[in-house]
Amino acid sequence: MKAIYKRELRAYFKTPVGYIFLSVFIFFAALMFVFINMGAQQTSMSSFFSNVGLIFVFVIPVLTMRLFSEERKSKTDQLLLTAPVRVSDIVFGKFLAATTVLLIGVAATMLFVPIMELYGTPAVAETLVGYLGLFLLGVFFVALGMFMSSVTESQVIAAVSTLGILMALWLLSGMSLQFSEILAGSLHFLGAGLDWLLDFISINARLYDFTLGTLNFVPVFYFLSLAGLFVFLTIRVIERRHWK
Amino acid sequence: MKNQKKFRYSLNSKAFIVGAVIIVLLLNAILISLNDKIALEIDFTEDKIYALADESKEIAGQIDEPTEILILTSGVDNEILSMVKNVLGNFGQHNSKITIREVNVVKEPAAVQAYAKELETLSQFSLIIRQSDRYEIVNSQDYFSQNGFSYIERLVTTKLATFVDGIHNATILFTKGHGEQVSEGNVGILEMTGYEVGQIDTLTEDFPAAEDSVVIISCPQVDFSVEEIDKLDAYLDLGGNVQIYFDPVYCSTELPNLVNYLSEDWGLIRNTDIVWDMSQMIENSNYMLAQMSDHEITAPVYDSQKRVGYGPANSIGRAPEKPANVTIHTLLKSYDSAYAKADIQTAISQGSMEKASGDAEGPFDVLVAASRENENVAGELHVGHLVVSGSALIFDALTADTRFANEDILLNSISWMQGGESSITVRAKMLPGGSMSVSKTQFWTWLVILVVVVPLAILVAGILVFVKRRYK
Repeated sequence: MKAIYKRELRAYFKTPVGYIFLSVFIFFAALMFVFINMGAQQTSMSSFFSNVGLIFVFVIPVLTMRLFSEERKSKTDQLLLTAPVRVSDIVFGKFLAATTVLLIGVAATMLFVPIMELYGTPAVAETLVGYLGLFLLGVFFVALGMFMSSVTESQVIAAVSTLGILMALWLLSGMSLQFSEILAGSLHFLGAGLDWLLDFISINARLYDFTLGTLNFVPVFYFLSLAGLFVFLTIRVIERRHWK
Repeated sequence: MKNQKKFRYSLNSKAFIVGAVIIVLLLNAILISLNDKIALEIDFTEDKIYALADESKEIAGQIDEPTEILILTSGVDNEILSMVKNVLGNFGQHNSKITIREVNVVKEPAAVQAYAKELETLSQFSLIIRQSDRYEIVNSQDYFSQNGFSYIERLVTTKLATFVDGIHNATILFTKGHGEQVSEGNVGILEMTGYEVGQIDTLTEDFPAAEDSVVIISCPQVDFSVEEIDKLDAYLDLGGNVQIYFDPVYCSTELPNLVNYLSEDWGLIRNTDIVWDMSQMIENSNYMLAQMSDHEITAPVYDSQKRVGYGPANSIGRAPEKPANVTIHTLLKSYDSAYAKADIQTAISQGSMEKASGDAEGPFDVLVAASRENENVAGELHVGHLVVSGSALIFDALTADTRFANEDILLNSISWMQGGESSITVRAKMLPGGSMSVSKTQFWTWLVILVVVVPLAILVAGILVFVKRRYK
């Protein structure tokens, strides 16, 4: 797994992908920080965190699109799958490499905290909790993007489908549908279930939990379990191809 | 045979996937429902904004009938809603009889039909707290103060207390008709604490029942008549509670009747001087730091190491002879470094508040509490309580700032007057975040560095690596 991880991480910085991801992410994050915090002269980063999640929706597909689809297109996946490594190691190696690049991006924006220290007194513990939430959201997005990359050999399709799903998740979070009201009578039970599901996939609400300065284990588990689920699904997809 | 194996693998694979999805959903569902019952979070906010105060826990614990808190929403999820849910969730965790429910007023109008009249004035995220056929309203407009404090917990606790038998808060009456200046902030804090706040015209109205009331004379500019003073004295004789706030700036009138009454009947002298302390100024304000003296009122905040501020004040002195049935305690005094100018006119003529020759040396009492025992003809003992402040600002702007203990002193003084019972003193909580001071030049400098230089540098590095590899 270590070898795969190193290979993937190196690949990000031997090609423009890693640099493009970092520069675009830092550009938009800095823009938000400068206007939301420095412009409004406030040290609370809760609005910053809520908005930075939206940047992830656009930049993470760039980070994950090539993870498996590129290998598949260039047929190097056959080499990889016949190598003496477990499929889970391959998937984890790639996942961790993408997560590391994400972490570099998030960590770079942590420089905003000492900048605020120059002009005010930000609440460091609360801010770090916000960063943890942001990172976990990114980890979930990376896992989902990697899964999408594993099901297609086209990088463009992988990127666009990931963007579409992430965008749908983001927009659904802000919707106020009430299925239990729409589906009355005997279908009320189904409506209630759909309401729960809609509430469940509300990633914005989970992110808000971190922006309040509390470390709640429910959203931590939420993001990690979903990331785990998509890593697992990716393993199944690759294994299936391996068996074929 | 091969096909059968393939089929079995495919079936197993699908079962695995479905199983994994179900497990993830189930575990999350369990955790979400557990979160309603037990605290699964750590509060990292500076002022522990989501941890319930002991008073709130006590009140929540005393709710013995199913009580529902409805959060009125329009389906929009945002930080305020998360914050409200977080605070309310703690009440639910403390007592399973308290349940929290979000109601989308657009999609579920039937659920709030009974409150249609109130809904007209309520904003999003307001609360309806209901128990059988009784209900209380909390308007979300009252959640936050302008200077960054949250009153959510206090408001909910106060409303929940109305469902608890045996909790009854006193009525607080501000006198009127003497040019009194009443701080709106103070009234808001008292109302949020559950007190009924009103006014009394002491010239035409009778004083209320002594045991259930506190009368506040806030910064009067017109003296009280002899008849009013007699009524006031009779009220105190029956065990009444009175707070009087003087001020050298906002109400420097002499008020001979009131001042003589305090001197002769209570042994307290309101000096017309102006206490100032250049070395104890609180940053960016006209407030100075005061020292707390040990008393029932100050004791609960003494250990919190919070500071107490006061504005320019009249010093409160002691008369040479004090009635034997009166006990006087200093609550707040200035530091030794304080000095007092003879009066506001002297300060104006000197053109500066710096210490000058002829100024009296500190320390000076600026807030005192006194009690007076009185036995009536039937042999019943009544204790009247009096709090006198030399600065109306002691209970003004700083009361809304929880970094200072001024609010605690105000609420504790009222609680002391009522024998230490009845008030719910849940503090306001400081909201996360603060302010920065960034000049325009600094703003544009950081904009250029962070938004242009850094991303561009990374991009150029990427291009260089790419070009180098391509032409290697």
